[in-house]
Amino acid sequence: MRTLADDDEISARDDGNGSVGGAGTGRRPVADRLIRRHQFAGAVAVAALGVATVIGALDLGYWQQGPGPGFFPLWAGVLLVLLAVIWAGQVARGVALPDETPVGEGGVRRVMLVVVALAALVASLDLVGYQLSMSVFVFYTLVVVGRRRWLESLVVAAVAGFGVYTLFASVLQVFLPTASVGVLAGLGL
Amino acid sequence: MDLSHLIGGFGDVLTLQNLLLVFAGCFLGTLIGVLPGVGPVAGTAILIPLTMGLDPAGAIIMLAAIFYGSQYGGTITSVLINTPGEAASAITCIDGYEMTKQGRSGIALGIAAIGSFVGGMLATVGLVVAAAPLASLGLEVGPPEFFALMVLGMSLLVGLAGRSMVRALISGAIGLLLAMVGIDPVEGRPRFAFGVVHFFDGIEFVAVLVGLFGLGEILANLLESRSASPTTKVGRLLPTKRDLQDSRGPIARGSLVGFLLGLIPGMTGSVSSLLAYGAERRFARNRDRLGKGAIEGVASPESANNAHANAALIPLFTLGIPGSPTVAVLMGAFLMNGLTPGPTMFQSDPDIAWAVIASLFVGNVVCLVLNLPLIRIWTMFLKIPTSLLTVIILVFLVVGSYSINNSTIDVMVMFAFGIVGLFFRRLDIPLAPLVLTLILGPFMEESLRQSLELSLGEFSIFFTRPISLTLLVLAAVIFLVPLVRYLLRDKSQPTSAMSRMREDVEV
Repeated sequence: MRTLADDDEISARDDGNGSVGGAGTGRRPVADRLIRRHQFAGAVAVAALGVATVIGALDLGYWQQGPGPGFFPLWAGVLLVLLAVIWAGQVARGVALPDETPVGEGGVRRVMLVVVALAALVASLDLVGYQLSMSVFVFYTLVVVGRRRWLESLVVAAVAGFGVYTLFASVLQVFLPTASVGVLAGLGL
Repeated sequence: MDLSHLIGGFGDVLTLQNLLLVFAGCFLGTLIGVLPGVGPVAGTAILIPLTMGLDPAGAIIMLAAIFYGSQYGGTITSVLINTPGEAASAITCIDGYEMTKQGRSGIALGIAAIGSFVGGMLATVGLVVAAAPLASLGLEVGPPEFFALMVLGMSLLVGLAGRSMVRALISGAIGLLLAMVGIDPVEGRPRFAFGVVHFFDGIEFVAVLVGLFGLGEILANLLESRSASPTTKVGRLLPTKRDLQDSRGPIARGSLVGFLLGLIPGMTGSVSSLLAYGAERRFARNRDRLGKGAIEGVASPESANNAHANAALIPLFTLGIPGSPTVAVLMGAFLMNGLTPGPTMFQSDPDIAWAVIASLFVGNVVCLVLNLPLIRIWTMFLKIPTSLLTVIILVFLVVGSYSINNSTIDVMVMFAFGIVGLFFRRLDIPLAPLVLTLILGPFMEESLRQSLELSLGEFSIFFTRPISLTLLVLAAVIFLVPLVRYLLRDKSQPTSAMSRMREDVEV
């Protein structure tokens, strides 16, 4: 995430102007050099995806009285590689560069906090069940990322975890994941 | 003109269950429009699981209501907090927010609701008129024509490109790739499933879209720290006689612009509202007041984006071509319910098709009620603090993606594509082309295969049948014209406002 951290430095002097659709927020624009670096990294990633696709597609049949299973994937992969090369060329020449919206103060930290928490939530859904994992996730996100008060966060967390579970089970007949760990399952989680 | 089908459709809609579904759809749609964090694509996709238990007609009626309901709701935040709830209402911020500053926010919202109603109704009448003759074409559509239609649909992604055609095509190619995941239609072998049985049925498009548009947007907002402080005083709602007089022309012009552009797949609601605003700059009686809180600046674009939304259903119903990402999601919902939108639908499931069309009339009335007398309900939602709202939306993203198939794998897919969505946004890769190819891809492959089985492997089948030839030529023109223009372009020209607007278009 080094590139994103670079953005943070650039836009440290954030004047916090909110305006229409987030465009032209009145912040110091992101430097051209950085935008190019990000765009170039993007092109490399797309090229890698293209190459991987082509390799995967070669194992599938290309043609059997018409396009086989590998036909579309192969061409999609080739197309991706070609487009990535053109993109990289454009970046080098400074053509069609976007205006990057500057990263807000502490933006990278907030995103990382939420992404890590979400990953933990996704990983624990089948293990400790929806009710417990979602309650913890909501409580954590509100207190740590949102800086909300403890009591309020606790109430919202309980509603999101236990309330939503009960609502979905009783009204929509959708049963959100339950715990697979014996002790927790025994508690009805 | 034979209206018996439509009357039959009304008969189906005016049951208690379907009326409730229309109401629920309009309510949820308006809510999606109001909440700045969720756009219509993610909003509609995330609510698809809610409709799984319904019969196909009910499910589509509700989802269509969510779709056009979000067009009404988007205005509310534009006017009150200067932040468009969805892209098509962005232009309304200019005069709408000025009116709020002058204490006339209620009137702005009132005229927007009225204009939206007029625009939506006119476009729905257009749909009824267009549906019957085009539906009779349905009998002549075989696999080659279907393939040509899908190619035509995909060629529209060039219209959805933002600043860079290359990045748009990359997005389209990635969508196509995602569409390939699963058991292939030729040999029945799993492709790119990585041994996960869940992926044998293909990657769940709802989870992908909820991640790209829902979680991706939330992460981008967190990163760029966007937030707004709402003014929630509404004041007088009903426009004065003078206001109504001033708005009559703009509503008519806006509706016309929106309807015509809505017919063209690839045109998005924000282009309509932008052009409608441009028309006011030229034709409005008080054009020098535009930008300073003129009612024309609200009435015209709002009529346009609703007329557009309803007119955009015409190519979907009659040709099976989704002209925009949200309509593509709606098309996905049709498919999940075993319906293939397009000319054949009027032959195979006429009852459902006409019930949905009739529901559009009812739904526009419901939306008018929700947005005129009940407008104060929505302003309450704006008082929810951003951090709380973000968490609530996150809960819905997780629950929504889980309940598609009751599987945590879909939650993982949503999560992964949320991160992909963030990178797409940061790199200015448009999301719309991906949606289009993801949904149309499987059909294109299948109809290509079926056509070649019909012709014993001869590609000439596509060029000897008049309808498929016409469609393919049309697709080639759509695809090549911007490409040629792009290659011949004047590099010193700055990007026009219109093409910039299209970048985060959702409608």
